[in-house]
Amino acid sequence: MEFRTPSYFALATLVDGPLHGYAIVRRAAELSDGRVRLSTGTLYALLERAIDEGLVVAGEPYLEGGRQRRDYTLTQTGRDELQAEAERLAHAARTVTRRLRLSARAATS
Amino acid sequence: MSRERIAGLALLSYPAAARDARGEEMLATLHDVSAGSGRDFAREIADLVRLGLRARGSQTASAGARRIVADGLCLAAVWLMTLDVSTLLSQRARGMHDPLLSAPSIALLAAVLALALIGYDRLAGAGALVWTALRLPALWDHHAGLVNLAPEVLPIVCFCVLVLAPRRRAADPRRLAWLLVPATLVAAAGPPPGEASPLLVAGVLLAALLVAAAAVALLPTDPRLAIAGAVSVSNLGIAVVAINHDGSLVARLFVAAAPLVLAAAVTRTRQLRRPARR
Repeated sequence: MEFRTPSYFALATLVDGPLHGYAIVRRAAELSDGRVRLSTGTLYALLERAIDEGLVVAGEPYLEGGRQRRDYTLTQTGRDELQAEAERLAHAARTVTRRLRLSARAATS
Repeated sequence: MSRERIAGLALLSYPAAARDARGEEMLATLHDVSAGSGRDFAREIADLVRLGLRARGSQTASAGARRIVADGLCLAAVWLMTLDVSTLLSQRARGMHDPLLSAPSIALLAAVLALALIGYDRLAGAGALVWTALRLPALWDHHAGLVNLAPEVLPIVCFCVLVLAPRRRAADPRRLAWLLVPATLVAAAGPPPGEASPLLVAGVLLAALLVAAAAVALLPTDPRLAIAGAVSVSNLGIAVVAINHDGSLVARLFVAAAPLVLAAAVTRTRQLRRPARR
């Protein structure tokens, strides 16, 4: 299954351990060098879908600094799907890079 | 208005279940994400409303196009009964005399409307069909010819839907408060021209405009209100074309309202039922 970029980076933020919503937003921006800026609506829509598909589990709500939080954890299925997607993207990148190199060489020779 | 209040209002675009499950958490995240930036806050709010309405639409669409259309037609039946009972009472109030305005006939329609409001759709639909059948001879005397009975077709269809595919909701007598709507319409339209309270008439017109605006705004996410409104408009158009022989573009557009809205509702429901990409 393919992921959209925001979902891909949001799930990737959970590889090192559970995070709450705002932490996922910040970490996704870091991992993507600022290219992915998750809005609250997008974040919770994709989290809900990931929970429904068994990729993520939600923890119990708690208070932190007066704000209600909940930690989200990547499941083994989620980890496997993310791994498969990372390999698919890497394979696609390798293929295109090789084609571009061959094409550049042919142009210069 | 404070940011908390604006965000709380934006969250209302989500279905109640989603708000109960994650509303507080979403608001906390939203305030953190947009802290210190009015532009980010505006972007967050716009996105929250857009996705909330989409979530609401998906929830409505999960019932299926057939159920949504049936719900819309049931609501249309209630609206048509409301308009009929208001019109008949207004005509009586103006001193008009006609077999169609007999007290037993209006009382039967009012009782049927009350049943539909409480939630007894099947009983109300059957009662409305009986009421229509009892009126047909008098209607025939007024306007002989099958074409002139065309304005009865859409109501009959809606009443049949009430019987065959009633809405799934528990009976609740508190909904009888909606009888204030026909009472207000009679108070506004009953008195002779120029004698009705201008404030009341303006209030009724404003309410009608607000309902129309809400129906249009909700069409992409919950088309039931739009279906009910479009059927009522089409029925008016059919009456104008069939009885007044008015073939103007406006009258034809009125007739086309119901098929257009029904087509849009079915298409949109099917769109929303497609699984979203990750």
